Amino acid sequence: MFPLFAATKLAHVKCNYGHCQSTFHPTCGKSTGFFMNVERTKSETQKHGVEEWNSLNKVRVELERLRLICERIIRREKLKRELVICSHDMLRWNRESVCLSSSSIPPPPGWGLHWLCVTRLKPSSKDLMTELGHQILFFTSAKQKLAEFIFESGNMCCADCGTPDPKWVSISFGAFICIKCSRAHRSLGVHISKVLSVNLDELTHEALKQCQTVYAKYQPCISQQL
Amino acid sequence: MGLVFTRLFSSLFGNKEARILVLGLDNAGKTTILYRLQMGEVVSTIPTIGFNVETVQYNNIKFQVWDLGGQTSIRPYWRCYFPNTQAIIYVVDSSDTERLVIAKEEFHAILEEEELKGAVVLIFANKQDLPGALDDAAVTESLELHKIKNRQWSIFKTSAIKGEGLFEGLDWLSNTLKSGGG
Repeated sequence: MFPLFAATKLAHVKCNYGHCQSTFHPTCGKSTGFFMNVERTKSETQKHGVEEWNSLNKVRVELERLRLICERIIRREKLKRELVICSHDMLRWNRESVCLSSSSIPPPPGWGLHWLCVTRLKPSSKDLMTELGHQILFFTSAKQKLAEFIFESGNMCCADCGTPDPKWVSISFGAFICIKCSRAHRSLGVHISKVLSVNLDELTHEALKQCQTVYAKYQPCISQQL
Repeated sequence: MGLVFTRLFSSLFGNKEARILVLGLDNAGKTTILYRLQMGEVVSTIPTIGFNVETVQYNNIKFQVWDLGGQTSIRPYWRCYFPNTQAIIYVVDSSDTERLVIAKEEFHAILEEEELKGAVVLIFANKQDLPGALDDAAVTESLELHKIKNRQWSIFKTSAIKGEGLFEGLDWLSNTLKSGGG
């Protein structure tokens, strides 16, 4: 029994000890302390061939690593698990709640597709994965994109006073500011400057896009002045 | 005996106490309103993370006014302050027309809270001094205030910067609270 292909939803495995009749779901069993000894049976090696078996094993290792990356991203971004979408059945099999099949669920509007995980894999395994038809799609939150944007645009300090690590953003100016400078921006009214918190507010993709466009528009002028 | 007299005295001459929450989306002007009411001055505020609490004496009522931060992720914590609240002041930025829908949703979510069943609601259509600010009728419509049932409510046009409308609102609040509402 090879887990990679036991991809059906809630696959049950019968205990093979003596006449034990109990069946269990492998991961649930594993998490409650039972263990499953995966044996290479003769029929399987015959069916797939040794080389294929080895390559599949490699894929399995890669996928496990991928799953760990996914988990880490979920934890770091505090994403809702449903938002992480992966087409691979193995992931679905392994973590029912983490991954959903991308084919059955269309991406929600406003969510950008991101090939975050696939790009992190080794090129060889990437080829292997594409060969096997595995596509891992990621939906990145606006927050994550904002963090990337801050990093890429070099907005590591307050646009007004230069305090490092600004935690507020004026969407209208595409500028990152500190809490003290947000005072001035907020007093102008939302028709001039719209201030949001990087951490405490939920940013929409539209707001982020607006922020980026304005930044791109003004960036040359600012650099010239400097 | 002394206690009886004190109670009698305070019931005759007011000095009621009321716990009031100031709620609303971020950057609606809650903190500015609080300090305008308390000190009569315009203070420039930074975003509230957590809360501000001040006592405002008005019309023989001692208002204990709690101003809570309005950022998206700290709105769920409002409910921690709901018990024993007699009135809510809901502040809306009338010039932020894009987010009136969100303001409406938050507002109706608050009204559905069990702990605020008896609370009186005062709505401030704030920032009337800004260009493009909606008036009280338009805010009433976009907040769907006609849907409010079994509750005393009122809406006032205010400008915390100019100090307009705030004390009219507080007048209404103190009269309603004195007449037994909340």
